[in-house]
Amino acid sequence: MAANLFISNSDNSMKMNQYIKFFKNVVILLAVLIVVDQITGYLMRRLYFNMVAGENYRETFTIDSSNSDIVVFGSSRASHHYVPDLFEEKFKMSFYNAGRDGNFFLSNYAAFKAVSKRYTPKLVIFDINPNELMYRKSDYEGLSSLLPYYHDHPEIRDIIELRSPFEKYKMFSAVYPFNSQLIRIIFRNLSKTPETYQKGYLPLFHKMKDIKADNDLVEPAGEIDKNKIKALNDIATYCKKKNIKLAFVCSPVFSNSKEIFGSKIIKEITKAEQGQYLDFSTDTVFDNHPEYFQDNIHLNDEGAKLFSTILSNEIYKFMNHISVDKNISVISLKADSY
Amino acid sequence: MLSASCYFYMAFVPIYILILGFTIIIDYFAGILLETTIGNKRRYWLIASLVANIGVLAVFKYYNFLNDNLSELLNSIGYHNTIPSLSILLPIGLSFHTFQAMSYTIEVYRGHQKAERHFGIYALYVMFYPQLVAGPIERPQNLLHQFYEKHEFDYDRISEGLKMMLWGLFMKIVIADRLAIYVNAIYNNPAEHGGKSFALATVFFAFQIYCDFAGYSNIAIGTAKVMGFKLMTNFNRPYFSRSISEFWKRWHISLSTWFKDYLYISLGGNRVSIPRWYLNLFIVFTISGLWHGANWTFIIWGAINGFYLVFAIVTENWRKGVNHLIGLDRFPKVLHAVQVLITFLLACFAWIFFRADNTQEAFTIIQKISSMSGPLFLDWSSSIMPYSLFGIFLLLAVEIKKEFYKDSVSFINHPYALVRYATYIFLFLTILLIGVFDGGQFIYFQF
Repeated sequence: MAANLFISNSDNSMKMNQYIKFFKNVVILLAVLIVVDQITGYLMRRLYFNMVAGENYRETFTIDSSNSDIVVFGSSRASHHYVPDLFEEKFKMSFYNAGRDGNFFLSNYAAFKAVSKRYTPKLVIFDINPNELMYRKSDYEGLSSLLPYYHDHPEIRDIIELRSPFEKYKMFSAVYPFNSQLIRIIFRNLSKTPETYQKGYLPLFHKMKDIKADNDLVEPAGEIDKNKIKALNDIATYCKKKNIKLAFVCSPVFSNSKEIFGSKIIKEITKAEQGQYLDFSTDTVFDNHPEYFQDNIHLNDEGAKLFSTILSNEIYKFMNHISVDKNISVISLKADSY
Repeated sequence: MLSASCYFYMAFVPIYILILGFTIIIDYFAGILLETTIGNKRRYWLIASLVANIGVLAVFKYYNFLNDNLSELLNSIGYHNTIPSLSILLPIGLSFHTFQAMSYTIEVYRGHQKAERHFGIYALYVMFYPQLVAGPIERPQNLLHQFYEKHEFDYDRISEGLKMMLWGLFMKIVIADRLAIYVNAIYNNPAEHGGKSFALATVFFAFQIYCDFAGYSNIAIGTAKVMGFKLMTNFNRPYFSRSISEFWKRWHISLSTWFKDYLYISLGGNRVSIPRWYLNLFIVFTISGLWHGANWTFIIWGAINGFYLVFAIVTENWRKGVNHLIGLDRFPKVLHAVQVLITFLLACFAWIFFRADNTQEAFTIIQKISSMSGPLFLDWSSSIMPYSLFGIFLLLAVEIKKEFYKDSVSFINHPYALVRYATYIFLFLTILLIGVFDGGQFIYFQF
């Protein structure tokens, strides 16, 4: 009996020791992990915001420092299509091209919110491929480029959190916001070459070689994304409230025989207000003119200059209440109807 | 545990729990009836159970495929197929839990397993959440009795399980999902890319699918281990195989052995005439391809593997002769390396069909690879390449250690706690730094 009791006590004691050992080690591991994460994250953060060139730098500049009168937001079709000097010459105002490769409407919306929190631009242009209004998983994934700004910019948190319900928890990690940025950050910090594209415009200098008459803007995929419609509405409401002139523009594509699907949606939801957005996707000046394009959806420098000249004239007329060829409007959108 | 498993399954498409419930009920009673009846009736109960399981699989997984092919066939002879297609989602992991359920009734029929009388325990056998949606496909003899056993807290076992989960997570998030970016960029735009890019994408896909599936298996086996359950090994460094036959003993072991035990042996295995033996191998691998998906690409992938096996048997003496003739057999290590490389390349060739969207596309890709046309797409700007190569390098380092230096101590199991902890932190940090957090589901969930 006594022996059994002794064995039983000994077993219990061993078990208890195992529990203690396990929880002690888990706590140590978690503590070390948190410390390493915070230190690494701190270093990554320092290096990230120390960059003086490249697309991350331009993103930081847009969000934290840009103060131009005119700002254009959009994807690569913005960064390669809007020539700042031509707009500045026409409007006698400062211009910044905040377009960024691979960043679409939700990311642009976040950048707009960050910018408009700091100051009030006079004119905001959104270069939008109307099919961007469809639900695309990749657009939410693309919001990862905004993670480094999550903590300092509460105004864009709700947009970043659209990525997943767990995003706010992931942000407890100091390293996570810089996920997949390691190599870029290291190289940009090693090479201190200053930013070449001071006003954000990234010219393309090649002429289209492989001429194909199709492009990926025509066919829509999926359903209308209510988050994006809401974003359109928010932008329009805010601009109206702050008296910011707002233009939505679909810049040229090489060949587009029919109207882009999403254009109809924007037209429909703007019908109740005063007009349309500026659609160059079927513009005959550019349509099937390979000399103006580098590929199906990107203008080269020559095309960008021509487009910027035409567009700046159109917007100038609009801003000065001169009748315009293409009706640009401050729009108010109804999210609920979609 | 059963509640947790139900919750886990219902997190995907809740209503599909009813399908699972249907087969569980049928197989539960079939098991008891198989044990309590004698004579031909036993066979009928087995058939009833198999029909129910295969029926569910046929409706949800193969109906549209069969209907589409029937339509094409009828169209080609001038008729019109009026049978409508079904618009349904494939229940997650259907092929896995169906095969696991079938293994139970077959084993009871064969007398290798007693029928399970406790309905909850049997339901848990089919639904055990770590391996419910992507295996390993367990056998009743290995798993059922474990649900009755008391699982004591065991520090070493839990620690081992957690390490497996961490490594599995690393394989999936750091390697598989990173490689998937390049593979998808190439395979999803076949017209835009040339042979060199497809060759690289195919090699990347070989590592991607391995890390995706073996990564999941590690997580599943590790999770079960933490709770005190021992699941069967599913992968054993398959890319170090010296032949396709060996490859299939190391790749998706739970499925390979399932087909061997329940189909290949039932067809007569190798205890038949030689032509029939070859046919048996070919049939088993073709059906194994079909198991993966309702698409001709999977069927051809399976058939290619069947062909490899038959070809290997037919040419065994000839290949030995060639090795002797060129003197390769005098350098066993070189011969070993050459065999591993050839096996890997053969597996890669078959993966083209597995990954391509359709057979036409697969043949175009093969044509492009054989001509090595076009430039190699290397997107250095997005850092995919260095991260991908880093992941593959690390994987190979770990696997080479396990394969060839089994006795040496690994970092993750090092006797010095400092080294072990540094390894855990390194893996966690690498996941945070270069893991892909938008990589989506595991590939094998769709099967």
